[in-house]
Amino acid sequence: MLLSPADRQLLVDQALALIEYLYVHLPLKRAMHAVDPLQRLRLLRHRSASLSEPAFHAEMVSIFTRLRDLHTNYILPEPLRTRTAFLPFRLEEFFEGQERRYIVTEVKPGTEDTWFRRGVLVTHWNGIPIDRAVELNADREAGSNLDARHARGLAAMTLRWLALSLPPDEEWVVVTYRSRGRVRERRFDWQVFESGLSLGRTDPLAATGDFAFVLGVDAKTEMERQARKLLFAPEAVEMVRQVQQQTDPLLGGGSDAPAPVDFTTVSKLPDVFSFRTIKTPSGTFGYVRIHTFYVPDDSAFVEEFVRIAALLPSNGLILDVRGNGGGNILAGERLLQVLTPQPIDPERFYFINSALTRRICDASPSFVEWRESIAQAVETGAPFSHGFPLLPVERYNDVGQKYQGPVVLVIDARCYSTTDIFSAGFQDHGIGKILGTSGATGAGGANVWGHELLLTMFPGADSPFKPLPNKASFRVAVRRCTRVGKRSGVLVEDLGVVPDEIHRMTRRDVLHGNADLINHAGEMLATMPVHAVTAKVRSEGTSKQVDAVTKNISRLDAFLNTRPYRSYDVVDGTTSIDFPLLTGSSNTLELRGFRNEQLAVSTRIQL
Amino acid sequence: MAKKTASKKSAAKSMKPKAAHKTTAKTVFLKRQEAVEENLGESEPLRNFLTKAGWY
Repeated sequence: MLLSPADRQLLVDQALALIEYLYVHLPLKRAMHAVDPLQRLRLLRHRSASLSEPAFHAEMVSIFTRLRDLHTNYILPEPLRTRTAFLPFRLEEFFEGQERRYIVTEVKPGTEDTWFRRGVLVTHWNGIPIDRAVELNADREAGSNLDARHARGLAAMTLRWLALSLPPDEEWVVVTYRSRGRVRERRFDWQVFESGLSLGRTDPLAATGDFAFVLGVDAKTEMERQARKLLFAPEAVEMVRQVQQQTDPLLGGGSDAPAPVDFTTVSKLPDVFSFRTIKTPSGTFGYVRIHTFYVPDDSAFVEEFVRIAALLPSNGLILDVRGNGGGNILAGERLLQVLTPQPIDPERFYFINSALTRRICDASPSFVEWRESIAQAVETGAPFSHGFPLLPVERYNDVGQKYQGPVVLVIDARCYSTTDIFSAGFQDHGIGKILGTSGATGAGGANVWGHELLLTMFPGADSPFKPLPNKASFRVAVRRCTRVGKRSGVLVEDLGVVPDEIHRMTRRDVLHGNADLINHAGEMLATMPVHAVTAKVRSEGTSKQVDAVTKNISRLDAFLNTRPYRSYDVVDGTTSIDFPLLTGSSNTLELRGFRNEQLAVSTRIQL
Repeated sequence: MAKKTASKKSAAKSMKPKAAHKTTAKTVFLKRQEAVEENLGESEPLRNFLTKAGWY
């Protein structure tokens, strides 16, 4: 993987072009984190020939890390790009009162011994008190806020995707831990494996096509999530295989086909969703974990969520997006409509104004909305373009509310990008309450493009982008986003979403399936009102009648093909609505329920 | 005598489910271990990898 001096210069020059002319957060990062990446890159260009291989890559990684932006990365060349370094266990944290404790929660099969096993508390790491060791690691991570850096520092103690992380300096670690009342030590060697991707998943660094233009993802979190599945959850990997065999006509149906998967308990996108009905002291509710938004098909994503939500209790839903590093922005934003009767106002995305962004917008009809304001910037001096949603607004409202019960969203500092945007939309539209296990989400508010994508946009000798050696590459945040509603115009980047309530993870949470966290969410759900309206169509001759069953609403408005039809004062029970003279083969009825003159619930049916 | 034999027999019977359970648990454990190794593919010590990669 040795890079020649010319290779190094090329890498630095490409980094300079991306940061100076494309990187949308440059002014913010200079202000927020007092950094000067351009000068550091110029100095590196001047000094690169005299640096060792590790020192060159360390400086490149450091320049990008100090931006505190998980979207904008230097990607190390092969063979590091496709390798993950790991220790054979997972370290998590919980709180005992105000004290933070570090505990082993997963162990790679074959690693456990009489003393070192799941549940032991770690006290020191290579002789350093564990809290300090995590802090030192956190400083090497790029998270926007302290909580995010801490969470990433903790994860990096045992797992490092070498595409975006330098290899560990140490070849092994000596872990001091407490087990059965005694303090013990054990040495673990760092091992490296080729970063396999679970069946059907694509490399977040190699996305192509339209999908590649709408990504908002922390690639490191996504890849490390996949790695943890390989290390600690072989059942989950096997389930993905089984579902793929069952749902892919090319793979399924052979003589060795496994038993059919029960899709009333397993998602058809098992790497994306897991769900179940849960009993809490406050009631029985639905629980859905969205592990990732990294899906190429946002419509299939929304459809599958609607399917599994219909299988769960309608009196309340705990929606858990902890550890979700983002993915397809359209999947995140289009999911919001399913949870609320309110029309969704999507976030606005902005380019930085430069000759390069002007060239990008002029070259492609996909960015026509942004052209005018970027062109005007020569005269106006505006630093950013006007903001526009990624899709026409109708696309964020084309499905309508499908889950009518109250919702509590659970977040943490590892939530990033699309998950930030989803959480912000959840809060800005007043969909429900947010419960956080940290003080805010990871705070990544941008759309990210890879260097390979830019190469395809600008082929040819006069392209500002050049092929890079040994599959080294870059990712850069090119469009930043702002919030809507009461927080209209507020950046997501570096600020994130602040939850309504905080839950400090307990020992029971980390060892017994988030039991206390779920109970806390259940308590919140129990205080939230439940409204419902369902509709059934009856045909009588040439006319149709709809029986609307309502709960906890006082007014029902009917809209036929988006036009106001009738309004009813209602109580709990059934209201019949006649449609004597319908024309056309397809008519859409939307029923909107109000409580105290506030829109509370809605449903759509075809007549 | 018959009573003693009977109690020995019932003691032997009650041992069998525990032993069977241990065997089942061990089989499950080994299968899991096998599955993880298969999913990971080959892994190697960090130093070996970095040396081959020309890092040092």
